[in-house]
Amino acid sequence: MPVPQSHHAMLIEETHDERARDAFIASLREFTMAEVYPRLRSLYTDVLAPRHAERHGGAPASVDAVRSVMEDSPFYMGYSLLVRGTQELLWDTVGEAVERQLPALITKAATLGAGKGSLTLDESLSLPNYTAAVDIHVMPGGFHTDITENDVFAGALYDRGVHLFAFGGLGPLNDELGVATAAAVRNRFPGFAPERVLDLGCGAGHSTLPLAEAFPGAIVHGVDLGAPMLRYATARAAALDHAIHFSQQDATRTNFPDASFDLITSTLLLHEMPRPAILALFRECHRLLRPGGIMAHHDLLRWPDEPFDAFMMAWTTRHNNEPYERASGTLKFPDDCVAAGFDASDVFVVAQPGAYLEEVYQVSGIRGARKRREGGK
Amino acid sequence: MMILALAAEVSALRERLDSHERLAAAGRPPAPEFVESYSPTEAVEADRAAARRAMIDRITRVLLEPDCVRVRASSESSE
Repeated sequence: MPVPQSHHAMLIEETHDERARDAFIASLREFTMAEVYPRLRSLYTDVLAPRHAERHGGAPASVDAVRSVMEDSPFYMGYSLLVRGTQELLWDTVGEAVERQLPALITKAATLGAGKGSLTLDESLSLPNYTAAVDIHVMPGGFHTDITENDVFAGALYDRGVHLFAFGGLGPLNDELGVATAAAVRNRFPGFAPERVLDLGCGAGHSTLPLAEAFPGAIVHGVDLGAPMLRYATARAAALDHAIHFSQQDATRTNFPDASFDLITSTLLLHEMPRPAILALFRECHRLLRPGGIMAHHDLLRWPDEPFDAFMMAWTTRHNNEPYERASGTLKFPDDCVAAGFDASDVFVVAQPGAYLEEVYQVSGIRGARKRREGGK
Repeated sequence: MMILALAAEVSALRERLDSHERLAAAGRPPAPEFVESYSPTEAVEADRAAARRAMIDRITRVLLEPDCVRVRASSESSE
């Protein structure tokens, strides 16, 4: 793997053979995305689309037409088997290592406590159906399932699993998207110095800790639906000596008072939500922001129009339990922000092509808006 | 999925064998505790990454050889 994962006290310990299986999975992921994926395009462009044109008088003009051509292709079937099979193998392999040491991880989390931060769980929180209905990206139990008391399984599984998924491309601490979000805000708004920061859908805290680093002195909160993620995130932040205040909340309707934050972020959250929930999230951001405050969401910037690109973008929707991905790619900017209360002239977009999956996620970046101060900007 | 899991096992087995050989070359017994505590150098990691890649190339050859992509595509047209 090009980038090894940085050790911290909550990261799982692995045996010689577990590390070797991990390395194989990361190599297979990298190989599939770097070597197999690009050949789908050349197969389509050089062989399948021209053949379709010969028979039907033109290249496939719709996503459905592309689908009919591609899904009959043994090469496409092979690609799909590789990606889906690797995904399942990844969670199975890391999951076995996490299960083996889960009692020790729970003890570690209790020993680390919340450090300089805090953790507030809400057992009465009802999970939205869109989250409860599906194990996102085939991760068993999703981000929210408690399999035992004081569980940290989901957090431990995701922290190691996403590192292998990205074959190290998210950086040694899986935090490069969060680092990029903070940098984009600082570059776009020089001198912006938030006092209170909120990271929505914070998960294991990969994108939350970079906010504390980028804005020293700020009070940083993170909210997520998943208790096992938050327990893990809290202990991980303590292990890495960061003061983060985690709480179990629905990001679309938090319990923070109006005008509580100067900066609200999310990283890879929007594409896990259906459109009505995203719009509710934007409204909640507007409510929670102080005048002059900024919301910044790191995710897909758009959904391709070209039928082949759109078909391939939807692979994860069809085969990897990502049912809502298109919703984030087809958001209307600035209109959807205006509907939440922002001014159209305060909406911004910063392209941030994915470093590790540039071919696949070339349409990612940071979008957001600044809440207007009364009487002007 | 089963083939990929089996391939991961074979790869892990190969790396375990590699650890044994490197321990033996260093004059250390290939006992489990030494295998577990063995820490490969960057050069060894690079060798292993190359070996994994070569293994993946062999496993996926039937899918990926340039001619295979087109032969498979053209065979569809005759079906």
